[in-house]
Amino acid sequence: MTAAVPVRRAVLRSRASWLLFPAAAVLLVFFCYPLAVILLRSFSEPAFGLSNYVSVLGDEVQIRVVLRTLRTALIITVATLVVAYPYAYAMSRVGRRARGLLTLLVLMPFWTSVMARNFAWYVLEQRGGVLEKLFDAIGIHGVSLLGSVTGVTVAMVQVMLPFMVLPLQNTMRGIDRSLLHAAGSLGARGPVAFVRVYLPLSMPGVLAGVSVVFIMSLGFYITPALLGTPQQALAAQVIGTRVNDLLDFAGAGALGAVLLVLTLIVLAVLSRLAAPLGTSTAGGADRG
Amino acid sequence: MPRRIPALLSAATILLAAGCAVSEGGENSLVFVSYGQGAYQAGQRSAVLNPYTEKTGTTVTIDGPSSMAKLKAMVEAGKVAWDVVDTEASSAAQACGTLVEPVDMGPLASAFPDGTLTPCGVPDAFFGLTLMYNANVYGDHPPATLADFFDRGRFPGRRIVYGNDPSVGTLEAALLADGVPKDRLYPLDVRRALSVYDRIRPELTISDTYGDQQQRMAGAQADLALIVSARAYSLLKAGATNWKVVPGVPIPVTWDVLVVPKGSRRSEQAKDLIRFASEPAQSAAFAERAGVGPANSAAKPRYPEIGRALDIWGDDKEDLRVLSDVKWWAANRVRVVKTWSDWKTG
Repeated sequence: MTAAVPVRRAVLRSRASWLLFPAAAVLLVFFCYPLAVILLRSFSEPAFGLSNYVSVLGDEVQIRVVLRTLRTALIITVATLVVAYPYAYAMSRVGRRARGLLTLLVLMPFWTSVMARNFAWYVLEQRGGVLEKLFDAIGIHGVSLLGSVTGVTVAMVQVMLPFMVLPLQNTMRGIDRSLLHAAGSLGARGPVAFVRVYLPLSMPGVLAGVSVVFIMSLGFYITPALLGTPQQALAAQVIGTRVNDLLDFAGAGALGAVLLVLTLIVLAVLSRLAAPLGTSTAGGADRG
Repeated sequence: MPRRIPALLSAATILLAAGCAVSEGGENSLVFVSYGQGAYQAGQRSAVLNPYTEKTGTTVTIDGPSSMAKLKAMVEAGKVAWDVVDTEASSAAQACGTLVEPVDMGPLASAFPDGTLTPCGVPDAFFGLTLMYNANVYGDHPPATLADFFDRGRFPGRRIVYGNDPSVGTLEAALLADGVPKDRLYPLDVRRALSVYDRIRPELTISDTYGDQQQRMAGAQADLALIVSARAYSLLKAGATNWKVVPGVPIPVTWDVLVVPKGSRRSEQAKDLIRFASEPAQSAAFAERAGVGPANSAAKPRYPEIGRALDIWGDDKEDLRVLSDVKWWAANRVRVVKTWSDWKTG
């Protein structure tokens, strides 16, 4: 992560490997081992074979839930990007003080308990709640977001904002503004310079933010469980049902594995997209 | 020297992990598992567990929330930290012999309502699935039958049911509303029950927890509700008096049981606690405090005013009660829960 002097990098690399051990040990015990058990069980119960995967992939309802999860994650990602991009741009342009304030605002959700935040949205979105009254006041009646996909999306965009804003503004702060002046002097007007010069330069940040937000949205549990309804359940909730109500640990594992594979595919595609930009998807965060 | 550090760190991690393993308590103590803070668990604490400690000197710790999934994981791992678990009757009957142990009730075996005691599950609380309406909405012409709940034409408005477990009478209510006689409910026609729910689907909220259902009812997010009596009781006690019970409609009755997880190291003591809890005095005291129906038929709880409308063992409910067929549910539970959960997420 740290920008070490290139000459010393090789030296650092050989010495640095043991620094990874604490993290590796924790991951091994608390992530790799349980994951291996879950995967093993998804193949070995009730009998060795692919029966759990056949039942997940051959089940119309499960497929619908997986597609709904992908669609919802995509909508959330796009909405978050639309909200975060101008915000991050503003952050990269303002002075030190204002940037501190903007960072504080975007990090606020991090410091609030997940439950408190979700219940706040619950109160805002409920029938007769603040949002409905607000829409009533401007002449749009009967807006009840609670228990709808829209309601879940709005709340999740708020949760996801920091994960999009931070990599974006890191990348943006590293963009050399004189390139825009150069573009201007060569005849590109503001919007053209932005689209042809600035936007491509900010792509590493966009890809980093998009991949984090999309992947996190795929596995989100609390917000959809609290603000949505089972009628629009996402994959994580269906996994929850399989474990808690059906005691079908193997089937839940299979569905989890499907979600994991989808996540890996998304990661692979995004890092492919990022490759020509000369940076990995995580690279956007490196520039600060 | 640096070479040893990885090994040391790994060893430390493993030790740490081992140290975190479930603490199993001492010899003269039991772990009782209920559903978390609320009138129900508080009632168990004051009406059953504290008197048991006084009588026997055994300390009882409460853990929770109760979860068959967690219990299954414990039994499979051979590390059972729970001694007595409060759970739903049919899942206990289904898990009898595999996840939970038989409990010998001795002479107390005949104290329970007919057909409710199973080899592994000892009833401790009875609930009725109660039809309620928001009087602020239907004050002038309140619903009068179960069928009204499923009639969007005559009673437009938001409906709410608890949907995490369909075995609380949810399907039975739909079939009774659709005209199935109560002595011919089982085997349940699940498809037919769901088609009855299809009629109200656009106006149906399905809550995944009872807390959510209560919250939505108290916050006027629903107009009609099918809700288990104990939850209705705490809702009314909390002051949501605009919610009224529809009198004179059939009431599907289900119950919770106490079980002993297989592999509990203090299973004899655990069973002793269960027998103690089933005696008339404790059963009545718990029922009064939690607003549930007592499990022991000889128990005569005295409910406050609001509890009486919800008292499923009341004389006025004699012809309205429809007791769940726990054997049918145990045999069909997995299939029905799957069908129900597909229907609700579909």
